[in-house]
Amino acid sequence: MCRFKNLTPWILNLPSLPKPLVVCLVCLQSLLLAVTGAARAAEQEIADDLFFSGHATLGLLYNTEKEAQFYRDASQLNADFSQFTYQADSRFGLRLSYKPHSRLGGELQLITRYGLSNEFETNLFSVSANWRAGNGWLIKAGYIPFESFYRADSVHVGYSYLWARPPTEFYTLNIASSFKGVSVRKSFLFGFDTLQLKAYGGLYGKTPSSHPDDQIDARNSPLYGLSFDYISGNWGVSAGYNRIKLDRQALLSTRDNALVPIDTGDAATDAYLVQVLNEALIKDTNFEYSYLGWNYDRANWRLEAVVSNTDTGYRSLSQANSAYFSLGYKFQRLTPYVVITYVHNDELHNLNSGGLSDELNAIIKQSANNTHGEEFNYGLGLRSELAENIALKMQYNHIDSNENPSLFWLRESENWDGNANLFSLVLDMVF
Amino acid sequence: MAWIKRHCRLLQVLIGVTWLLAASAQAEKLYVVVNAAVEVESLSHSEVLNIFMGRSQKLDRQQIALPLDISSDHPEKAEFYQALIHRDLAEVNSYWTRVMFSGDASPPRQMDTYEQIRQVIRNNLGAIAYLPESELKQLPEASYRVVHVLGE
Repeated sequence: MCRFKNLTPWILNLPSLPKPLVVCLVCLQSLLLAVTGAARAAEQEIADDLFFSGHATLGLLYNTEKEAQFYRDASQLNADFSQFTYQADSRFGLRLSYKPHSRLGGELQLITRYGLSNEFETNLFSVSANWRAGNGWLIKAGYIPFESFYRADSVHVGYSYLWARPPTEFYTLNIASSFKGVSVRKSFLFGFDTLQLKAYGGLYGKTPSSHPDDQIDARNSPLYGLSFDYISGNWGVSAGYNRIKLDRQALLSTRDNALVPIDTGDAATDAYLVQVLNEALIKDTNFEYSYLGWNYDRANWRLEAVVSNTDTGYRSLSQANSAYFSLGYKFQRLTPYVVITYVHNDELHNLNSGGLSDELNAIIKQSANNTHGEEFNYGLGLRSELAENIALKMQYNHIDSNENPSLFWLRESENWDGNANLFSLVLDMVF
Repeated sequence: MAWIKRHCRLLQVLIGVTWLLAASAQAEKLYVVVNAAVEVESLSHSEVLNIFMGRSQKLDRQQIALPLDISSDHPEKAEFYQALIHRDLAEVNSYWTRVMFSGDASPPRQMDTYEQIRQVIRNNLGAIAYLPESELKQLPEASYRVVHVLGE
């Protein structure tokens, strides 16, 4: 078999290379590694006690709808995608782990993807120290992936799941990626069954992007969470609850970020309106996520069903309930699958804007109505294992938005009827 | 003619059964071994599974496990995971990709050759690996202990 030497350590050690060039070089050699079969979905030793691994996704997306722009998650809110785009789904991740001792170690993860700055950006995803204290205890401290939703801590690693991309409606409101803090996990083994309980707490790391116009700026807000995973043979159940207390409330940090554009012609009035809208729209200061997931893998069948609830803490978007169901059947290297997703935002209740003028109340209500939505997403796809560490996925989605869909779409026109079709072609690699 | 057809069919069945038996006989047993100095007499199927899938980090009360994998170039790797969890290597990789990038556990350490595995087994108390009989014979008997056999 043709072999290609892993040059990543050498590339990373090159002095003063521009960051984009380093990313391109590593991507290129990752592709070569994957294609030539030299890579594995495992850690590769690059020095004593130092290991390297990574993942890459090259994705193409075609949106048949000219009247509405599609985006994958909150990190792409400033995007300006054309109908045919590679930016929405492509990403690249690197992981370095250091294991000087059987109980002690550390890891660093970087991810490059299209973010709020409307370009590909590389962000720190995780840097932590790990201590395996014995008897099933695992303690992590540092900058840790945030498991807001079911398996959200590995949501960028395309090779790890069946679909082209995880169900959009389900993960759209996942605003956090990592946090600064501590995580404690205890595992219990009962024969083939495993129970894992996890508790974590700390400070919200950063918004999905470092761009100054972030719509939700919650840096250093305290958060905590609990999760539960039970695996028994072919099936598993997971549940989690977590909460972020927003210390910095900047939903409408600038007039351009407002849900309804604010432009009275006078900067002082605009600033005042932004301030009033912030106060009127924010109900309290907590984001709460909870989820319940179930998966079943027996013989060739792959089933997954998850429900979640998000309470965003904003009057205009009081609660979002999401669910998805996925069913696949593996025929050797091919796995056809269906995935159905649903999301619903509760109706606006108890908007208390007493004391404000009629004009301001009208703006608040218009903002609230614009974020209220309900959407079904029907997906049909095929995953093909090209190699042990490369998968090609094709997916078709029909989206049916029953009500105002602006929460899940960007810049839709008034002519849009709420229906759209998406075609995805994705190549996932791990190395 | 009917008699001939009936016996032809019987012959076909016999050939098929013989082929299946021969094929199953070719699948070599895989021996799960640890360092002889470790106080582990045997491991159950579930204990081996938990160690190789990252759910358990212990060989015994004291010893942290260091699971070792042979590279995918060797057919025994696919046979091992098929016997252990009835999954092909792509699915095992998919599982490890999620767990590894979640930071919850690391996959077994990859070795390119059985010679490397034998060396780690001899020198590391926590090492645990699977070997076909032909490779196991090259380990000094005093240096290892078989704790489980897959494919029996």
